[in-house]
Amino acid sequence: MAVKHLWILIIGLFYLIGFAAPATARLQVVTTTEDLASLTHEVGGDKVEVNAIAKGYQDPHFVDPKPIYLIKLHKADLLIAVGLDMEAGWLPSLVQQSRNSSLFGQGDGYLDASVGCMILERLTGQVTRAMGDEHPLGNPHYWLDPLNGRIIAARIAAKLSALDPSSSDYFQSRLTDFNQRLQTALQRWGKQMAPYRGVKIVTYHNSWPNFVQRYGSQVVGYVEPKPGIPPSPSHTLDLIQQVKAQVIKIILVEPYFELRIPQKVARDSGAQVVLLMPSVGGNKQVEDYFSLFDYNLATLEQAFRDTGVTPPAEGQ
Amino acid sequence: MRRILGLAGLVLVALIWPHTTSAQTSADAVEDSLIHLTARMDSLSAQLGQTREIIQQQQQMIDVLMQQQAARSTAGISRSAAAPQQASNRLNPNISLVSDFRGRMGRDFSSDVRAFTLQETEIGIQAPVDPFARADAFLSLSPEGIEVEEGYITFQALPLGLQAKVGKFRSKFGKFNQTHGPETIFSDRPLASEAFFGEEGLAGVGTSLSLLISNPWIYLNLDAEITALPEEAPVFSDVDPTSGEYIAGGRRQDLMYLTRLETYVDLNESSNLLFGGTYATGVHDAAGDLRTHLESGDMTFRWRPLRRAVYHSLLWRTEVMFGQLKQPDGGTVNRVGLFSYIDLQFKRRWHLGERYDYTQFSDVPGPDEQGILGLLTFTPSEFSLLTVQARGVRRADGSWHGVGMMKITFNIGPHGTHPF
Repeated sequence: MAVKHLWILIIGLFYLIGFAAPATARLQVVTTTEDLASLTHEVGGDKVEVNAIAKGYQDPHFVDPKPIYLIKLHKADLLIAVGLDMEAGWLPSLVQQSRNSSLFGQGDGYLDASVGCMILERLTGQVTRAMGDEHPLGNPHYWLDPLNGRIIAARIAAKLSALDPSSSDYFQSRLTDFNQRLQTALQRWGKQMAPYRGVKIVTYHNSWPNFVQRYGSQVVGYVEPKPGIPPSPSHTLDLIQQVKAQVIKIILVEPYFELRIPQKVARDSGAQVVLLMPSVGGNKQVEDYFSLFDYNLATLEQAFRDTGVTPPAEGQ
Repeated sequence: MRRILGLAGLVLVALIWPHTTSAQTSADAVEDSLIHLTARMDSLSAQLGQTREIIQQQQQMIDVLMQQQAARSTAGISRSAAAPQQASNRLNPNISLVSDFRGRMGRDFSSDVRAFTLQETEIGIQAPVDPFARADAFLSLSPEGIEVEEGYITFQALPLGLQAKVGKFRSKFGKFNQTHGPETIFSDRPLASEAFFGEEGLAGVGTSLSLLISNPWIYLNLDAEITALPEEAPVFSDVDPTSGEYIAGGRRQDLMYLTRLETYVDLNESSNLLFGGTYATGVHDAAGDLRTHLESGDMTFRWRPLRRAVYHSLLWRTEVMFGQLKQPDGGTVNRVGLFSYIDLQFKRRWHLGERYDYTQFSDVPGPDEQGILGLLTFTPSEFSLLTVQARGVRRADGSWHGVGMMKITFNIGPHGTHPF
């Protein structure tokens, strides 16, 4: 009986402490990725407290729905998700168990960051898993186009203003500042990559369509035979032949994939494996949305120089 | 007149003279200005080009967005020109199917089990009911017929961090019991699970309340369930002395009460521990006089390095359960069961596992059983798996039996959530 009373006492104590915990004036925002957290911080400044679930060096398709995230989601004023089924394997169960009604059914506390962005590769017609782990609603790596970053930031500012109208001017002012800095950076990045428009590359996963569209490279092959399917020996041999035939010098790999197969392709074809960061937090140098592009473009530019890449002539 | 013309000539010479003397200097200055202007024009031209490019890119985005908007206004958000969906179809629930094909060889399985069986096909139907609740139903199609394995409505956000469930659902007695047969990594169930709860595990019809205990430090969740007494669980049944068959205990009004407290801690970003403790009680005789008390403790250790999460992982789970069954003579029969297993993902598509089983029986005092199982699993994708398993069991009579098993499962339909 004493044990039973002890349990009731402990649970009651936790519960009281939970309710007595001081409510913070800052909006509590949970984002599914560090990219969205960075954009939220750009706009929200010190009026928001942002927590990202997936780390930048983690494959955002495969995240364990740890119960610890429920504590954050339970108290969240806003959940910002990549959408397009990127988090289909883990976010729904967390939201369902969060006991936070504002997050259910894309409620007032939910923001799908993909809405309004330029989404590529929306699939038409029949979509089956024979095509691999495709995303029928479109490629979810859209934040890798900085113009989409501008749209996401604008929608975050609007959402934060709706949740905290008294800070609306603050959010709008930070958004304006962000847009100005992004505009300057866009010109710098465009100029940096201008000499390399049309260069053919291979990537591990189909993570880069928005990025290469903005900066002019052409993805002509993937290490994965189909999205989410590990490379097979026959596909790897075909890829080596393709890389050789098309004189491709660069193989882009995300930080969460093994390098063994890309390195074999590179070794047998004379190409170079280049590790790019698809997300903020991918490594220590990529600490915010601006450094994500600074790092990736500098790395890519250096790789182009090192391998003597020249863009194809017009019409090729 | 001459004087005037002479004066004008002098003025003209005076005006021209300084310029002709500095003509060389002026030409240099003009040339410099031209160079500066040309450079400035080049710079402005480049900026204009970049601005045009940005405007073109933004115009492209606007065009795409307007097309998407137009498509939405004419044919929902379907992008299939061939078969635009009706708006009502978008309200259809998610429907998924998991099928479980099994093969067995060896002499340690009952005579009515064939070498190959389509053990179970499970159809899941899931959707929000309204902004406040969602519904989940899992229909099990097996050689025995069609059964509603689970079917419940969940009220997701009640006050005070509560969540309520009403319907038929798997009981939260430990962690393993919550997993449907086709979704476990094993071709069988642990001996203790079968001995305590039968082939399908513990499930009941009733209601449950789940409380997320709000605190700043750790995850704590408390569940309470009240269900009709499960009909096929040996710990809530009596054995017919003549036929040897289990007879469901209790009267219509007898219920099973269950409570579970679960907590979770991150050891570091790659490893975590989940602990749970469960208590359940009900009766096991037809008159509803003899009470069963059950307690269990479970521990799950997970390791998954975030940078290589798709390639490597390890799960180690141990569950121990105790039962006390009141007897007609006033005594109590105590029972213990436990199982512990490890599942190691050593390559992206390959898993190696091992399980140890121990159990005593609710109806047979004295003897116990032990077993060991090893498995090798290949997962072509996250939607299918093939596993081969070998199990050795020391039966209650002391004899050892070995069996080889195979299990193939596949999953079609919308992407489900990965279990945790």
